[in-house]
Amino acid sequence: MTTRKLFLLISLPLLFFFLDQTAFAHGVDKNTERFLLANQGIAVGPFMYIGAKHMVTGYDHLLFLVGVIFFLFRTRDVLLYASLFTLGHSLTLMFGVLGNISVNPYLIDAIIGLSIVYKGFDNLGGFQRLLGLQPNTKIAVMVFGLFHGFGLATKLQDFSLPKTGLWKNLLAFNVGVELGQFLALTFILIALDFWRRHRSYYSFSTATNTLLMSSGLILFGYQLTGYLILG
Amino acid sequence: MNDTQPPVQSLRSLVIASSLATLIAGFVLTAFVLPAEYGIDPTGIGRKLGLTVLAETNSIRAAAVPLALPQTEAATCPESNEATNKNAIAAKTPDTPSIPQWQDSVKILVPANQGLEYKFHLQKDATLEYSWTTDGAKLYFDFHGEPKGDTTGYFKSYKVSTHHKSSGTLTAPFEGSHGWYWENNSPAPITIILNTKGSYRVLGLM
Repeated sequence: MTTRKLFLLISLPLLFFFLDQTAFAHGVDKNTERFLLANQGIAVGPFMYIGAKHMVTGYDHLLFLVGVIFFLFRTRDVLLYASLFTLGHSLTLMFGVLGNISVNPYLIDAIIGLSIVYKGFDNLGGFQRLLGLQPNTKIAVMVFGLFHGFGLATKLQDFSLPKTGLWKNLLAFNVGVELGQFLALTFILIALDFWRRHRSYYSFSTATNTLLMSSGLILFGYQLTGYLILG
Repeated sequence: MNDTQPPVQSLRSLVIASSLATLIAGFVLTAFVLPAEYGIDPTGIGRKLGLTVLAETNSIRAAAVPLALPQTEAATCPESNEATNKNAIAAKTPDTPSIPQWQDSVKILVPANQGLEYKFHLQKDATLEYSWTTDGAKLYFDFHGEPKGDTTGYFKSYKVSTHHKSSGTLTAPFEGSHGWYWENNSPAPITIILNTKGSYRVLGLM
């Protein structure tokens, strides 16, 4: 208990610090943009930080993660699913940037919105009820990870990243994403863990996942409109 | 999911949950998100809450518009004698600089919370005489040069400050692109009028 309290004391200020940051879905804020534009050569620290920040302040990723671990009670499972997500994320990020593959960011973000809807529906047992089968959750997380990574790859390509040491910077960025995801997951888990001790967790699980679907749909509509108007 | 069995909802509650999610999303989108982000306001709620203003600032893009330079007396009437010229100078308001007749004048729009660069190409030792001003709004600027053909990302700063105007003369220490990075950290767009004179080639917005 005491370690838990200590951990909370340490983590709460951090949480507020991150909440204080303006979050953009897949956006890269102006300071970061300036840095990326001016950066030449290898800069492991900054890229790692940008990666971590992107994950911690990217509400679309966070919503998806909430959906993914909502019914995962074992730490082992949480780690497994988070790793699968990261694997997908990393693959497309690296390949996307190195291979200069760019996808329309509005479309990608719209798909990410849909991934949140999918997970909310999945948590309600929707697929089992409608199709009579449960789609493989591990594959789903991995596939959506691929989409999440593409979104980022596209964003990073808006900056003419220097070719020298590009893969090292990308690797650093990726490690940062992993760290940020770990940090975000920790907070989500703490919150869920508290809540899981109360019976309301189950009575509200339908409401929570409904809201999750709703948020995903809002993101989807927002990005799709952007695609139709500006994309 | 092998260790936990999430409760499978009844078809009725699934339909309720899905329709509710769609309804909430539809409302939030049409009432708040679309008006604020894109200025699309089918319900009119966005305008009532003043959200559509946000979309207007969002849609402002960085721009640089060349301005027509005011013609001098001498240029408009070449046959004018010295007497009329003297009168013209005397009639000038004291706050307008009378000496430099600018070569180029450009109006640059820096959107809210954005930065941009406006550059000129200069040979080594070429001069660039400049004077820029905003309508009083301060913004961060970095007047700098980048050597031609340099790939290391090196740049030399001549002047870095946060101010609403600046003027002077630059003698280029090397051939390359020279100019300003302006950053507007305010929530409203800022317009800069930049007047220049010298032996350069305008590269414009970067």
